[in-house]
Amino acid sequence: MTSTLPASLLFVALLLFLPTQLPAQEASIPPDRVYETGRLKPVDSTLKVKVGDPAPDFSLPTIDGEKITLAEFRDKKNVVLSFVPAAWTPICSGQWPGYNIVQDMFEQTDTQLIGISADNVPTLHAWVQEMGGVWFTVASDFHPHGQLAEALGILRSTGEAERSLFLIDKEGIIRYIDVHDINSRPDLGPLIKAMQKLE
Amino acid sequence: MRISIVFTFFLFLLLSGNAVAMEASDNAGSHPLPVGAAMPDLLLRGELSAGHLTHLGLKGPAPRHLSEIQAKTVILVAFSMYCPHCQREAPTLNELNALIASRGLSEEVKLIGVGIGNSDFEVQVFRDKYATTFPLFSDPDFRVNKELGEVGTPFFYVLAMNPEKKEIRVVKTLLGRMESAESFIDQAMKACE
Repeated sequence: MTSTLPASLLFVALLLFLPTQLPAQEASIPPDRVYETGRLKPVDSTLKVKVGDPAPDFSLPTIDGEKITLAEFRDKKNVVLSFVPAAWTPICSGQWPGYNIVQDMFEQTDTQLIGISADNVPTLHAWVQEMGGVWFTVASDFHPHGQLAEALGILRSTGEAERSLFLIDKEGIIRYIDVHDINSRPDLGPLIKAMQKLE
Repeated sequence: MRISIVFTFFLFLLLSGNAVAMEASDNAGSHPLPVGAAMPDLLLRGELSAGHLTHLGLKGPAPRHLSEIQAKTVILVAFSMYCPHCQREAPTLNELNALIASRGLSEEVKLIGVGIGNSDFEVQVFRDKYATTFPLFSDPDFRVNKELGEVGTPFFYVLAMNPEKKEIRVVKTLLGRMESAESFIDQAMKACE
């Protein structure tokens, strides 16, 4: 009995010590939590807006328990809407963590980034927590289902939003659209360059 | 007593093993080239500074082939601007590059990065953000990563270059972050012997 005591103490000490060694923060999503979708139809919707059109206003709940509207940025900030098809899927789980290191580029161009999917708030909350958090606002277009995505013409027949980017200027006019092949990640370059072109 | 110690030791191994394995954005269909395998002569694309071109012994801008790099050993790290583990590994990669220089290995050992699925722009974001000191190439269409075995990131290949035999051989691989730059360069040099 006495001889097992030091080993038991060591064991307890290890249990206390090890969690601090685990990469709990800023981790990418563990592969076993990601749902493999396989290859999907690249685009499964028809755009209803074009560059030069006014963007439809919206009011969406965020994972911080607030509401976000387009109108609140009028005359104040440009807005980028980054739609991703679904939480817990392969490409989406990598796209937003990448935006984490370009916060300065959004600030320099006076641009508010809003990440959106048609998942509900609790799911988006859990997923964003799992990726270690993001600096930008994450909003849900869940109810009425995909209302904003539908207004823009990017709601797929299966209820997800297209992987797409919209840049809206301070006057509420759409200045850049990239409805991307759902199976691949859009290059950040053209979006940032479009942001830098705005006043 | 002895059993408890053995048990504790194995538990430690198991847990620390998991911790290391988690430090990568792994790829489900990944099939890295094993140690001993020949590495294809990769076509390396991207915008390199004049200093980095000279460092690698390359004449003129990319695209260039891997075999054109003047070195006995190339440490190739597959990374992505989008991968949080790679973002956190960036300072250690600079440390690794500094160690190569401080040990007087700059001529024979060259560290390069390939931004898997990253455009030139995205590679430049990574380079600027982390003040990367070594040459980074881009792989916007995953063409290089197909040849690397669709690896997760970060992934390290230590490659023995043999220009006479026109051969590049894998001598060490690592998925996930290095334990430390120092232990990695030690292991890499040992693997090259």
